[in-house]
Amino acid sequence: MKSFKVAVIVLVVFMMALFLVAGCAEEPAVDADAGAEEEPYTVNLAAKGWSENMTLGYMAALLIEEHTVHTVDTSKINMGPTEMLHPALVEGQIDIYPEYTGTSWMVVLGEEEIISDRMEIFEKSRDAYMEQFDIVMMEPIGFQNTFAIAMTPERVEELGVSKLSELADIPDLTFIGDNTTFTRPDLYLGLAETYGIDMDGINRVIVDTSFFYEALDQGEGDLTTLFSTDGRLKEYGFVVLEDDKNFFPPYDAIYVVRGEVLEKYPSINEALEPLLGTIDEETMTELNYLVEVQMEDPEDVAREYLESVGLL
Amino acid sequence: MTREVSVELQNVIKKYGQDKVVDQVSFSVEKGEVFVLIGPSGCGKTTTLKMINQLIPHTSGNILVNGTDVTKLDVVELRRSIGYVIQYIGLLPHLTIQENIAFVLKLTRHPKKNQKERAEELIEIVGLELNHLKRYPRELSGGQQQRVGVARALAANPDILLMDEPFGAVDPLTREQLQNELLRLQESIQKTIVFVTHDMQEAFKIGSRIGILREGKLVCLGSPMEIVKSEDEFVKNFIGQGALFEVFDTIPVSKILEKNVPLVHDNEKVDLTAEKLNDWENVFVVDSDGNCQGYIPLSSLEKDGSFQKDKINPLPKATFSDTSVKLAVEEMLWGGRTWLPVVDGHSSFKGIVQFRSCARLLDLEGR
Repeated sequence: MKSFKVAVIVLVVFMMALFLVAGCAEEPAVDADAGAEEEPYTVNLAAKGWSENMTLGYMAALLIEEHTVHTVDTSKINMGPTEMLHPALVEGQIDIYPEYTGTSWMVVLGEEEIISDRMEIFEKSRDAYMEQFDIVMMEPIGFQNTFAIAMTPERVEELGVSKLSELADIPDLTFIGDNTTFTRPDLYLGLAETYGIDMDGINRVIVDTSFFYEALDQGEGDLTTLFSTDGRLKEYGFVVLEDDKNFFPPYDAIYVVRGEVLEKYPSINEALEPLLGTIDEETMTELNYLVEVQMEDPEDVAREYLESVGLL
Repeated sequence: MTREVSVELQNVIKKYGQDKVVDQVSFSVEKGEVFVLIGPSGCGKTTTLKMINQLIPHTSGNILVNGTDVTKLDVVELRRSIGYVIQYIGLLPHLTIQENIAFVLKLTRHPKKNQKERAEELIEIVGLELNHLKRYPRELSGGQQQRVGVARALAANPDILLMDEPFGAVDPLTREQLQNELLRLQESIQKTIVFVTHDMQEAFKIGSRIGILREGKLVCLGSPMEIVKSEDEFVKNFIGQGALFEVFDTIPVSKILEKNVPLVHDNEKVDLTAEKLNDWENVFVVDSDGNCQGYIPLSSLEKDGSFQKDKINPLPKATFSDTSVKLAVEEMLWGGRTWLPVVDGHSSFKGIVQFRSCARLLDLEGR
């Protein structure tokens, strides 16, 4: 992406020269077929620092660069969690990043209302984002990456559980997680409240997020959170406990984009549209597997995928 | 003759907290062999496997791949240079098999002009038909999908394959076919394979050597026959009764073939002074083309070593040199015999196999 910067600078200088010659310093008018009239812009794209989010980030970047006059700066693709990305988006330091509806609803908007319907949570989040932040939440990409609580099949049999509501009755449980899982409202804290689990009464095993599954597999704890489209999940045969009180909201993957940017450059919207609604859980999991286990570069995987489905 | 070592573990330990899930495990895998790791649930076999490509980092000890310490290798290169096959196949559902393989080939930066040939080559290597390439994953059976999984792992032509219970999710018949396919594959492509299973029969069938793990420790290491001869109580319980016959089922009779049977041409006499005759009861009669006509008990020979044509007993039904010892023993029992003639693929007489030779197998090292 950085190699495009030189081209952009040359182009901008050239255009500035044109304006001086024409004696005109106004911004070009923006209308329905503004694609041809849009001034090349460098889109600041970011993502959370893990495989799926980065792959989705690169997909957006590649589509925008291929189908519009704009370039994309992906230097912040490894930026950080929602807590960093959202404020940066609101303040304009970044223009776009991939997010999840459930996270938007519970973490960003701080809503406590439990919504189980995917469409409903998307629409309500989308409307609130527009109203509160002037951020556009684009249509869902097509899959959910939900949180779930998992145990090994052996432990499930030992404890005789199948639902989260049964956990409250089991003393001395050990939860595996990292700092985020023990502090996010849509993870252990909120879960404990909904299901009546005393967080002071449980044991904590804190490991890096990339070791959750290994730690569970080795019996370091009784349960862990899992991310339903994780590539590495496929190495194990974990059992997911039923969320019988519907604590976890849906988590549809979406792109959130600064309203100002889409208004000015509608071609960005057009470039991303063909991708929306087309990626299912199976596909995303496999792409994640290639990045997480085979250690393929997320940008390569994003490019190969878009080429294979004819979007690039 | 020293063979090249592809993978070596030296005193490898994996700890989670104070808990040693892999405890001082050492073994080396020779180039081109199929090395099986097996043991009860929780014994550390999968953890051991995953430390080879560093999906799990080891706590201490050394792991060498082609002579180099894995911690000194770039993990991306390491991961890409070792094939990894698990039960999960992970095919992109909306692409054809060909497109799925091409996807992986492109990621490995395979030259574009050769991608189609390579995809076809890979498909045939794993025993699928070319027309499978045009199909979608959902149109393939579990066994067929698993073959595609192996094809993709072979795409970048790694020397080493790690396989973690890859055939666990298919029915027993398909599993047998896949095992046979793997053995056949090995004959042509000779990869170094480290294979984890919980199925002892599978281990005996495909393993050149087997390592049995218990609670993180390697308690037994050797060829199938060596494992079966182990005196260790745990090993004996683990492999179960009937293990000897399971191993016999993996050994072809060619291993205990008696080639040096006394032969006589149909127009000659038997040399009664030959020392060889002391060990035998019968002489085998061959014609000028080398085909065996039958056999004559020594007791039916004339005093000068000649014999009458009507004294020649027809050969019992022959067994092929690649038939397993177990099947040969069954045939002997059915026929009420203690020996069988052995022929090769062209039905040429090669010698005989005797029941008492099976005992010799228990003295053989390796296969």
